[in-house]
Amino acid sequence: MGLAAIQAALARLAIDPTWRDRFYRDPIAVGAEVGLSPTEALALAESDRRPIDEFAASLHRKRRAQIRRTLPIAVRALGDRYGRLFDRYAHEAPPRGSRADLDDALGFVAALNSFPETDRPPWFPDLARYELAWQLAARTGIWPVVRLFRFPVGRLIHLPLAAEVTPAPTLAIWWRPSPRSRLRHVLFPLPRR
Amino acid sequence: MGAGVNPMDDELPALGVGLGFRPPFLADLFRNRRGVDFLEITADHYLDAPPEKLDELKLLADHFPIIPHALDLSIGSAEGMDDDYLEALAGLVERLNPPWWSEHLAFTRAGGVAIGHLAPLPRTREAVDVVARNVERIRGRIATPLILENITATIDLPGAELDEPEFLSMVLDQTGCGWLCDVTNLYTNAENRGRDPMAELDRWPWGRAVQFHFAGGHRQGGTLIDSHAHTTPPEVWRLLDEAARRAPVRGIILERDENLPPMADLLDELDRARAIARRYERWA
Repeated sequence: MGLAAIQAALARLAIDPTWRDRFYRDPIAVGAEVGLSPTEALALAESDRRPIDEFAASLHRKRRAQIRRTLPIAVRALGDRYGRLFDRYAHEAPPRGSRADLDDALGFVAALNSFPETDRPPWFPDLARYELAWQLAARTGIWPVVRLFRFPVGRLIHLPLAAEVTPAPTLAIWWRPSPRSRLRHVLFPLPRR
Repeated sequence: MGAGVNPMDDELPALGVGLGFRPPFLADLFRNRRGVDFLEITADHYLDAPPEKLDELKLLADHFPIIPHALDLSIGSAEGMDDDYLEALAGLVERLNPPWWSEHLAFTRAGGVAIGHLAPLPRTREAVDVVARNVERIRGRIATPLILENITATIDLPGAELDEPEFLSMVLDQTGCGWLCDVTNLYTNAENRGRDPMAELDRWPWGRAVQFHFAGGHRQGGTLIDSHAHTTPPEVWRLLDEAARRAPVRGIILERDENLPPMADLLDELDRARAIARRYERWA
């Protein structure tokens, strides 16, 4: 069994539920997409599926916990809704990049805007972007990080999810005066258009 | 085979018994400095880290011997390893200058996909060759001895030519690496496959073991999960005792990631592991 092909297949089975279902429906055709021979594809498809599903579920739980650690304020604000929103995001998006603690959080935050506002208040994506920007800025060295928000992000941290917030454009800047100095941060309220 | 690892070599110091470092332990560690002989850090947490995190690492390294433990080098990938990751890891190892460092006998990247999770290798001779090739490349960048950890795996990929002890032994022979024996993983894999770990003890390459991991997991739907979330169970203590009897181990690490107990409970577990190592005169 070719190692590169079997590894590529296991990776897709683990991260992509749609590909997983397609593979088990038509292993020869779908396995060929990652280089499995018909014999290899059938051998993999005929082996016990349960451990593969458990492996995928374990990865799913790990990603969910990782984003919770990266964005504790945003996830706490979401409460019970977090699991549902994460499941929706993860079903569409495989794990991203090589920075496990950041790249998936970037994907989740980007996906928040596509979720209907019945599932989260309009200001929530700004809260998540703000929290994530802190993490990114901490790693960016002396290059400043600049973000524009629709809402007064400094206030959002303390709000319950049901709170109504009036949009108030806000500019946020993070920087380090030197590579070893502490991270600085400032928020500027901007005039409304 | 390059800079192979012989645990009996006097150049590998005995580090004693310690903890897998997690940030919530920080304050308690310094209050209980004498109960912890060394620390194992997750290397990945310090590869692309802000200055504050590097300050934390310096603080730890000023007070404890540190062993870097990497997660995402993907040492078993047929497509090779990520150059940037290897370079960053080499920088960390150089900075800490440890007596050894460790990775998992697994792959985390394939087909252009970063899985973000340790995936088991098919137990084939081709996989052994791939690991050996990758280790050679690592040695071109990191001269510090590398030890490889056995992982938990519920998946048995088809086409296996070797069983678990044979596969591990062949990898260690061909690479010259030492063994980071995760005793809980040995127990977990045996238990999940309905085998008795005590019955197959003599088949493992104990002479190559440099370091042990131990921890407690939990059951989920009949499957034992290595979650590092509970106190070490009696079965793992018995296995740790047998492992220490057989292996010239130089360090033992308790792993705890979830459901964190008071530091005193962790120190009790360290004391028990220390007593086992002393019983077999693994260090003074």
